[in-house]
Amino acid sequence: MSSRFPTAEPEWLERARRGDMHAHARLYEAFAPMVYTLACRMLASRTHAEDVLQETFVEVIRKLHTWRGDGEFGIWVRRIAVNKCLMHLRSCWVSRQAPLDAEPCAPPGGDAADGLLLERALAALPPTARAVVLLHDVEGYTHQEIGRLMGRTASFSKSQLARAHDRLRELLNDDVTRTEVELCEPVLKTC
Amino acid sequence: MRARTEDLLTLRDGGPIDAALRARLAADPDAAREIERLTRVAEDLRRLPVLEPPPGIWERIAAETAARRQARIGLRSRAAAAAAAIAAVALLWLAAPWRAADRVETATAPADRVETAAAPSETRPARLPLERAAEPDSGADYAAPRVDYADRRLDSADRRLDSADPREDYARLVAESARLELMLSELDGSPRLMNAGTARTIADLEDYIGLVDEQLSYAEARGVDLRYREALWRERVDVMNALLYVRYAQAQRPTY
Repeated sequence: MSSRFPTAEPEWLERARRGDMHAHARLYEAFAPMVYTLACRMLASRTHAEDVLQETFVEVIRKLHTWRGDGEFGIWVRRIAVNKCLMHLRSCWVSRQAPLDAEPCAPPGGDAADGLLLERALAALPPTARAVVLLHDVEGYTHQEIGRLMGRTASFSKSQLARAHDRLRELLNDDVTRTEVELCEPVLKTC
Repeated sequence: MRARTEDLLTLRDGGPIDAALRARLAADPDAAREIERLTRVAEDLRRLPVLEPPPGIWERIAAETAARRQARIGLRSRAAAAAAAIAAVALLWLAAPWRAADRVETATAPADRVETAAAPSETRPARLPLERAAEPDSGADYAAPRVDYADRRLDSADRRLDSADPREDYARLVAESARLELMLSELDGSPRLMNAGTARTIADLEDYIGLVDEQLSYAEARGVDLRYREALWRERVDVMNALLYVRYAQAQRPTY
């Protein structure tokens, strides 16, 4: 299977492990979009996604010497990012936050109407269901892995995924949502 | 009967499913359409575009990393200096003249003189040997006012812990330290977005706890006097309180 992750030159990785800040910057350039996209979708908020991006890379740099180099670097980075996202979802501050306060993440443009609709529907899901659908359907985690990450069971992950899809179906068929997206599209594109 | 989404998803993902249910769903055109739709949604989710992070985040990461590194370097050199100082003090204490005098007197003097030498309420020297050496009259008695750091800490903390038995205070400090450790571990992971100053404060406090721990291990290993160790535990509790305060404040602080 070809990798879905960006790749890092071994030479840059080695330099980064030795503490070279230029190499750290190169790794950031390569992997930041992947981390930011994951965080933006999972947290449905740009502000929180920026926090996660920063926290993830601070940790990547701090723990680079512990990466054994026997797997794909992108998977290691993604694992840290997923943990940070889940920590944000668990934190009381985020759970107290009303979803409307969050700045939604929108695609940068192009033929974004369907994408926007899907983004909007995704953002409207409850946080746990949203995290499960992204981890399972996009990131390829198994129910077992998701259950472990969330401190729950595989069955919990399965039922959350089903609930997420039921809700997505309602939202995607909902004329109101569609109209809202069409109305918001120019605004969201400039966000 | 309408098929359950959970079963349709299991079928979509090729997961294990009851044979009879599989056969029933395979014969149901609505179920087939729904599985197709669920597959399409997953594909659409995977096709959503990659988002570019806004500018300026790398600068924040670089600043935070640099601040942490600087704090670690500073602390490491301070830790090395402090460890060396403690080692020197402990060695001097072990080889101190009053200990030698005690030994000589115990061996040679009559019983009443031994009592006089050993009688002061404290079982440790009133002053550090280095201070004593700096005095013009270094042969003076050791009952002069005590000025060492450990005593200042003890004096201020006596307001909180003043049991007659120092071992009881010691045990309470150790228990308090464990309690704070637990509270810190219950604060969710590392703090969220923070400015470089806060990150540095947290790193400093964490490193300082590490330094105190180093001193404690040294003191335990060398069997240094209980009151010195107690002072170190008290220091640890104070620093952990400070760290807890900063971490808690950070966890409460909305960023925008």
